Amino acid sequence: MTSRRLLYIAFWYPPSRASGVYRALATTRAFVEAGWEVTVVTTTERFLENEIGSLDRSLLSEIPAAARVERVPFSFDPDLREVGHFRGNFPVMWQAWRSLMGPIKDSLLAPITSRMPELEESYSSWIDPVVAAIAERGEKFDHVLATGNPFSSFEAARRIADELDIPYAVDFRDPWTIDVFTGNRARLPAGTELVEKRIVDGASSCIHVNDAIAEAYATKYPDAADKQHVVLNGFDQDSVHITPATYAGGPLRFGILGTVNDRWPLEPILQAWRVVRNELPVGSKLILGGHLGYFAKSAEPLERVLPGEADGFEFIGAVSKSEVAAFYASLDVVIVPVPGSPLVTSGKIYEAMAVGIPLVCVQAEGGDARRVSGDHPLAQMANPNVQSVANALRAAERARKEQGSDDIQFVRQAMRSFDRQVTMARMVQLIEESR
Amino acid sequence: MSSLEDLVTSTPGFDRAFILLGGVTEKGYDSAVGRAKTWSSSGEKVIWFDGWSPGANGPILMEQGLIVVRYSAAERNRLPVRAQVKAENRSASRGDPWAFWAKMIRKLNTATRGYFSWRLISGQVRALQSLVEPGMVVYCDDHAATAAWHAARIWPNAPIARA
Repeated sequence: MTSRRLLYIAFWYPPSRASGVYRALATTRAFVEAGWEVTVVTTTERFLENEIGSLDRSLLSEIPAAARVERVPFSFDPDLREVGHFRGNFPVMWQAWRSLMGPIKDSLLAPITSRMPELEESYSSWIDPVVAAIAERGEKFDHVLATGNPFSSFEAARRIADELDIPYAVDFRDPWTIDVFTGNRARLPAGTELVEKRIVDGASSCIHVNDAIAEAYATKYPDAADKQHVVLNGFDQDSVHITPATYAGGPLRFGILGTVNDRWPLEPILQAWRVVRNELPVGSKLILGGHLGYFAKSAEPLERVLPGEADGFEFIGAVSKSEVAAFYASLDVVIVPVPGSPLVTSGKIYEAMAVGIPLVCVQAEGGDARRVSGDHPLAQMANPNVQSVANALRAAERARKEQGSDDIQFVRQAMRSFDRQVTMARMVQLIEESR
Repeated sequence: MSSLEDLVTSTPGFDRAFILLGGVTEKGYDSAVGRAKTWSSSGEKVIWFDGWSPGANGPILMEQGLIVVRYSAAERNRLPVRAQVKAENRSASRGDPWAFWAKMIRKLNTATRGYFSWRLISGQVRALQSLVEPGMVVYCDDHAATAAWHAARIWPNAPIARA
């Protein structure tokens, strides 16, 4: 049997440590394991290092050896050799002029531009080099799959597929023209909706991370409703392969893992911790592991809001992928903060569910992480307010003290259906069915 | 004090030096310091145009193959900069009418600072054209983008990047 060739466009890919990287890695792995030859198109390490300011080189070892990675340069900064005299000599004045005129131009031209499919986003300048790099290779592929954001990857996939006359699919890690937090129309430049419609119309499959987003897209594009599919994020077995021990008495360890961002309901969690802490065994701790923000510059303002050791709080910084399982196994309770919306699930909820110890899901009612973890026998739901979180922490503490090793094993077994190997098999199936 | 050309020609290895356009702001300076350290520790020769840190203007050969060309005194002596400082001082002591002028002069100065600070170093940069083929040109703040734009025209093959 001839092997099938997949061109996978994933802007955020190791050594990037953006949240979408894990799904992209799992997708690559799933296709390689299913016998596909995979070529990944992504950006350069230089961009991640110089302009994003943070990366995690340990993630490079997670890329399957059989996958080829093609790095196409991108920069937020202009190519100065392409810049004209006025902008070259007065860059600050040019930027001010552009900021002033942009909205005026948009509103004046809205009646025309809203009817033109034109993609304007910070990453649009990556599309042409990607299309050119693939055309230059002169290689044949059987299918193109793109993951977004950035959604410029989708447009690159559409154009490459058009040129090579092959099908393409798009994996929406977030909704594009629908605001993930409100469910309303996202505020985007005129013409973006037409670009999305053209991409959705032409795609063999549109893949989403939860039912709510898939349904929102099916409603938005009724003609393409049957193309909207769900591939859950799931958890990596590597992240939970250590089975936690039963509680043997002494101080309790509550833990949060993930990239801290200002959408997290962190404040009520910290306040609730201060309330509950005095009821716990002496020496109990709340441990936070992860990066502070996605960009190097986000760390400092976030660090300022964190409590100190006097509050029984410990910030341990980034936890590398290879240390995640040990981190979870060292905890008694996992706390998962999630911004509230039916469209938001958070990949971390699957990991927390699979560890086997009690978890506290902090999300506003109606949120998808609450729905996903609702049937978990050890999950406590909390609204993002101090009282609700404090009650959930107390309930989780009781559950932890009562659970035996059989209970831990039972939960771990029950969560197997969320293993990424299982969830990603659906992604491969969808692409294979559309060939 | 030796001229920049003398320093470059008399010190071996500077014909492939890396050029660092540090800009005129503290942020640009901080990022230039990091870049200069990285390059120097990997043995690269570096010519750093520094318009922020105080000190006598002109080129100085530092240790480890680093030439620093300071021009902060000339930058701070430019008429719009002096006018801005004066208007801000008056605004602080006399209040509103001067606040408006201070704001206008600050905006005008910010908008044109890249061009006029480039003019302060353009002679020295252009003099390097026949002596150096830079391994890379890096600029460190928005104002230094002007110098980088000119550098891109002076050395059409040199990689240009922002720190």
